[in-house]
Amino acid sequence: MFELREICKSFGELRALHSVSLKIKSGLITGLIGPNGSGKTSLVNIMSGVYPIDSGQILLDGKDISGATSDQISRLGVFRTFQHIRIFERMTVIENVISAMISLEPFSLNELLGQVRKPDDPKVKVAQNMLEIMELEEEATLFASELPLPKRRRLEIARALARDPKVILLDEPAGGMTPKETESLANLILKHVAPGRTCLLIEHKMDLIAEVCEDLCVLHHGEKIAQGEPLVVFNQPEVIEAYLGKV
Amino acid sequence: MLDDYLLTVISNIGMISLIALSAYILLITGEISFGQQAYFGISAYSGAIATTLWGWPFWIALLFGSLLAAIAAGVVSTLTVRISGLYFSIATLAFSEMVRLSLLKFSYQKEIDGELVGPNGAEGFGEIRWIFENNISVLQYTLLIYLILILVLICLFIIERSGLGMIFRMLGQDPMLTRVHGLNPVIYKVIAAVLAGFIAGLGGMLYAHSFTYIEPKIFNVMLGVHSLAYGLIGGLGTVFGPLIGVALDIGFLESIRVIHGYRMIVFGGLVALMLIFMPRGILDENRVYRLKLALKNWFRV
Repeated sequence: MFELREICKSFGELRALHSVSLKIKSGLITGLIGPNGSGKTSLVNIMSGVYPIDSGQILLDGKDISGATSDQISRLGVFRTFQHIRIFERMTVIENVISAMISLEPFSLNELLGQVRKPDDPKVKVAQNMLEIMELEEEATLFASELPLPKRRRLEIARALARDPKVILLDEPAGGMTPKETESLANLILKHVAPGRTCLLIEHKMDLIAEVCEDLCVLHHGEKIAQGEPLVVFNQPEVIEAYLGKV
Repeated sequence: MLDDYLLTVISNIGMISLIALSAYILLITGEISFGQQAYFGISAYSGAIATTLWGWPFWIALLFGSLLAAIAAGVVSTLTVRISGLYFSIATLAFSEMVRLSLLKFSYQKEIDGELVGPNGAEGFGEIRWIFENNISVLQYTLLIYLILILVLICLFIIERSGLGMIFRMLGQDPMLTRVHGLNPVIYKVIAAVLAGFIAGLGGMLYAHSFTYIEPKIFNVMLGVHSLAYGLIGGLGTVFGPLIGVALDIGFLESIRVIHGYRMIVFGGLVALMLIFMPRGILDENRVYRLKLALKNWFRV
């Protein structure tokens, strides 16, 4: 279980997160929604160690990991995707997936200096599998910079799957996708990403949230205003007010 | 026929290729160093002192000079590991100027055969006589330079295909994403800097013994700027990129008598044009990859 306790984070005068406590239940897909600027991405940046916290505690399976850097958190089995896609553009698609697996092995000379792109290497096999799952196998040998946006998003997920993390944080994986593409992404998440993992899904597309999430948390102005079953949360007056304003 | 002038040009290409490769290693990890000439200089001085004043064997002196350069590079990169971009460039430039100015004050002379030998500040360090004492011909020394260059290229080739090489290229594209991939950039930046320092050191030590005379002003910032430009012209997609850059500049521009004296103007223009039209050089990552695929297909047929 991933647990946040009274997390505070400010950027100068701007209070991005104020005393946010959140439990992400193991093995479930938890949704995280909120209007623009409510602190969703800041929360993911904190959970993945990209930003240090001002105060509070982060617990992973009961172990305190507050203050860990993003490489340490990543090695503990937490992996994330990015709202603004980050891929290695000057590498091929399959190399992007292999790159995620380098730090999985313990640090050794053989691991460091051995060839990484041998066709019969287990890493290459895993990478090919993940690309097949994400329906990118035909693009495997293209340069990542040549991919269109929806495929880049799927490449990010393929890369995350290759690491086989315990916890996966998806930051707007359907951003910029058409309804049809979003639909097929929902299927992929339910079939391949979620099973056996703890997921946090940030989204603006409510139909995707309603379709895949079992638990939902709402942020507003850096504070948590609701958590619970999606259909219940959607109808809470505070949530409606945050999105639509007071009547 | 291979006359001595041609051989000197060829051996120059070999030695300068080593410092160009050292700048290239840092370029692919995303750092622009204006200070690789410092390691070239440290090794030139210490290697030449070892053979001339202490009478050490050549190979041990070569290792000694290059290791000193690698250690200096390791110290500098540990100190600068938290800064990047322009700030990193300025820090490396400052260090290399510190080294050059220290060499201007550095005097360490000994009487050998009734003559004072050794570095003496701005007067430089002459009488590096290892080549004459051992009757090494220009041709032999050129072959020696290329033997070392080929060994370095083989090592870099192995690294390029390895996980370490992939990490270097990941760092060069997105250090934050590399960190999210579970890799600590600090470790790999220092590894890259030490490797680059060692390779620049090999070049420097060979340079001192080839020219038999060195002085601090050889190791000024223009040498560092050139070594950067070689990678940027030749391409950052393969270890052959910087070699192409060196061959173009020293082999082609310097040898054409027509543009003699205008070489730096032509070279500067070439760098500017490349940065506009091919920002990552002739053999950039994409072209190298396509070339490899084409070669593979060709061999299959």
